[in-house]
Amino acid sequence: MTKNQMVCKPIKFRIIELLMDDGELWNYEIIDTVTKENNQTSTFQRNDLNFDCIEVAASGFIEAIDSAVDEDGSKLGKDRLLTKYKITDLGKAEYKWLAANAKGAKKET
Amino acid sequence: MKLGYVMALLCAVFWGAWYIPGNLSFYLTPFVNMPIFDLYDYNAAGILQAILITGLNALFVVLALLFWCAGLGKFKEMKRSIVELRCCTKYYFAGAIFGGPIAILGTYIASYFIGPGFSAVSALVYPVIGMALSIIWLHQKMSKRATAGLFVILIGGIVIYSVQLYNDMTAGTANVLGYLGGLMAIFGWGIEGAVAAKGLDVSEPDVALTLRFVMECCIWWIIIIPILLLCGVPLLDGITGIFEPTTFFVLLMMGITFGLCYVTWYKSFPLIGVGRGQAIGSLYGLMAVVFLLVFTGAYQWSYIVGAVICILGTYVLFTEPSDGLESLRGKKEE
Repeated sequence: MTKNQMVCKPIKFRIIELLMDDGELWNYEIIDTVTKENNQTSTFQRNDLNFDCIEVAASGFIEAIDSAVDEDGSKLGKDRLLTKYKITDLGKAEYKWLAANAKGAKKET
Repeated sequence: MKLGYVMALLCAVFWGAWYIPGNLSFYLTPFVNMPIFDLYDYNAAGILQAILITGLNALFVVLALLFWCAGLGKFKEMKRSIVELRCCTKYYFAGAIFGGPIAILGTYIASYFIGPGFSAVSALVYPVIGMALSIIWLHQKMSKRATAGLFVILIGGIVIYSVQLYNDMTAGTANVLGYLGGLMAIFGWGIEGAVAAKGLDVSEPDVALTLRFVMECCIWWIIIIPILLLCGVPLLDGITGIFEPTTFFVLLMMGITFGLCYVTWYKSFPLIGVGRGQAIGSLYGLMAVVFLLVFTGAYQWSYIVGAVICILGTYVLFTEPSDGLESLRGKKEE
């Protein structure tokens, strides 16, 4: 499986790939990785990415498996809900399709 | 989940408000006195005027949405998405075809030949098409309660359609083109929703929507309107006259209300699904009746009865418990 081939591709491609590669991740870990890759620094952009994760979960590609509250505010913001996601079978199939069809992505899936 | 419902409700408010500038535009200079009314018969001139206004609607929606995306800092994401022809762009293009030259043109035609109230409420049936496609094609889940709510909405739509049809038949004023426009809106928007949801699985709603309208703009301003101009249809007066202050303001309002209604519509799909998003968004029918009553004083009792039935259907959907709806699809459907 080729890793990190969706860097600088549409955000939702990358969210699915991160969970495909790492299995399980907290939302703030996904947000930290993607914001770093795209040089995004504002709180608005971090919140927007959190919303993208919720949308991908609603589509059924990833699912929430754990939750916690950011008590000290160091991860997402004080008292914000932290969610741990893992990829679903539907998400794995979607990733394979994206990897085979995305522009310039390597086809080794 | 709740945010998805809020988005769909906001969509209804903006969509209803759009019928005011949308309908007003037919009666503004330069559209009202274009040479097409002297050259062609009533039906042909009406359709040509609707084509021009739909094209201008797309243009002003793109203007509004480009400001929206600039404010949200989404241009980079837009660039990344538009190059993904097979994964994203083909769905936006399909959405533009079904939404623009079919649904929006249809609703303007219905508005012109019958009236904005009819145009607004007749299209209420479109979630039924969207629901059927989202179950068959997208494998989205639909509970019995959601299905029941949708059928109540459908009954409301039938009341509105049949009473209008009966009144027109008895008065001898039925115009087939108006009803055809209503059907174009129903099928166009229903199919657009399902196609859009497929593209939205892997794209950001704000970006997807802006690109969908950019493509609709291309269909109107690179293909259809230039072909009409080359064929000698005198639309140029209408195009060059849009800078008249009142006309420009109305077109701008049309772009802003429609742009925001589509933003909230598309945002609701990934969160609550096509069927629910479209059904709650259908409250626009009531909003349109209310706005038209407030601003123009025009209403028919059948529109109000139909709209009330539609709200009951929407209420059935809105009070659906969200447990078990974290994902719109079953786990083993692939």
